[in-house]
Amino acid sequence: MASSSSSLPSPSSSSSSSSSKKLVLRSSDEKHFEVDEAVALQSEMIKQMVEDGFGGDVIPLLNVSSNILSKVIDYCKKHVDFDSKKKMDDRRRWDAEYIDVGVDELYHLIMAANYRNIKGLLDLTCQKVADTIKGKKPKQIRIIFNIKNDVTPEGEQKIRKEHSWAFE
Amino acid sequence: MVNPYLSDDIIFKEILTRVPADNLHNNFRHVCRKWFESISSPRFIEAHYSNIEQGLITPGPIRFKPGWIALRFMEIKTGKMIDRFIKFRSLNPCEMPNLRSFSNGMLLLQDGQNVHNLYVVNPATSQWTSIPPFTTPIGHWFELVYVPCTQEYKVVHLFKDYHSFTFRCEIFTCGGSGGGDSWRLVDSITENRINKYFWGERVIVRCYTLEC
Repeated sequence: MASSSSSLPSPSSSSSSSSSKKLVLRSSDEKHFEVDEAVALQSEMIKQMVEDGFGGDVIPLLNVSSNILSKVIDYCKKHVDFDSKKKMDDRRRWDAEYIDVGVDELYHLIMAANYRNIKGLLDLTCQKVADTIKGKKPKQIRIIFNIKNDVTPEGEQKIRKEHSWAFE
Repeated sequence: MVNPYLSDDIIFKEILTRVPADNLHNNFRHVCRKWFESISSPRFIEAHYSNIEQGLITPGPIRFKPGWIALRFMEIKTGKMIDRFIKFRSLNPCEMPNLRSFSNGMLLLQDGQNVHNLYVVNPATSQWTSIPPFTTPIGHWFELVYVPCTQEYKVVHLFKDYHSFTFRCEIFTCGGSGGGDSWRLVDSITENRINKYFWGERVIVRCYTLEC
C-alpha cells in the first residue's frame, strides 16, 4: 500500500495507460511473450516489478518454461476477461477444463503460480491436488508425494493411543 | 505420480489446508513424522481452520439415530442447510442429545436422559471425549470456552448452591496437561465477582474470569 501511494501520479491516468500498454515476458528457454499489461499484472510479482520501475524492459521468468508460461498467460488473459464480466458459471466451467491436465503439468503450473504469485491460479491448481488426494490412505499419499515412511506400525499405534480422544 | 518439485511450503500451506480435517486426522498425519508434527502444529490447525467453510449451528436437541448424531449447519455464504453425520457410539438409541454450547468450532453435548453425561465433540474430525460427571445435583448452566493463551478448551459449569444460596463455579479442562481429569471448583469466583448473563440455559463467560 505504502509503495503504491508514493509512486502515484493519479489513479485515472495509470488505469487508462494500463489498458493499451504491453509488457514482454521471457521464459527460461529464451522465448518472448508480448502481453497486455492488465494480463501480466494478474501476477503480484510482475505488478511489484512494474511498480518498482522495471516494466519497460523484458521481464525474465527464470523458472518458467515457454509451454508452461503460455498456459499461465492463457489463464491470466481469460481471467482479465472474466473479471470484467463476472459470470461465475462460465468461469467455473472454463477453470475445470483448464485444470484437466497431467500431474507433471499440474505441478509446473503450481510452481509457476507460486513463483509469480498469481493467487487465482494457485488456488485452482492446489484445490485440484487436494481433491485428488482426498480420502487416500497414508500408503497412497507416500507414493504420490514421494515420501519415505519413517514411522513403524508400532509407533503409529502409539501415536493413535496417545491422542486418545475416542473416535470411530 | 512422483513429484520432485513441490516444496513443503506449498504442500502444507496451499494443499493440505484444503483437505477435510477428518482425512488429515485419520490418515494424512500418519504419512511420516514430519507430516505428523506439521499437521498437529497450532500454526497449521489455525491456517486450516481459517480456510474452511463457515457454518451456523443452533443450540437445542439434535437429530440422531443409534450410534450417529446429525448436525445441521447453515452455510453462511449460500444459506444452504447441510447435514453432517458423526459416529457417536456411546449414546443409546433412547437418549436424546442436546447441544448445550459451542466454541471455536467445538461442541458441548449433553445426554438428554442422563444430564450428568457431557461430551465435547469436534465435528470436523468426528472425535469426541466424555467429560466426567459433575458433582452438584441441580441448577446448571454450561459453557464451552476456548482459552487462546493456553489453547485449551474448558467446560465452565455454573450452578446454584442451595445451602448458601449463591452461585458457584467449577471448571473442567479438556485434554490439557494441567487440568487432570476432574472438575476444579473455583472458589475465588463468587457471585459478586462473576460476570454472568443468563440467556436461556447458557452463560456468557469472559476468558479472563477463568484465571488461565
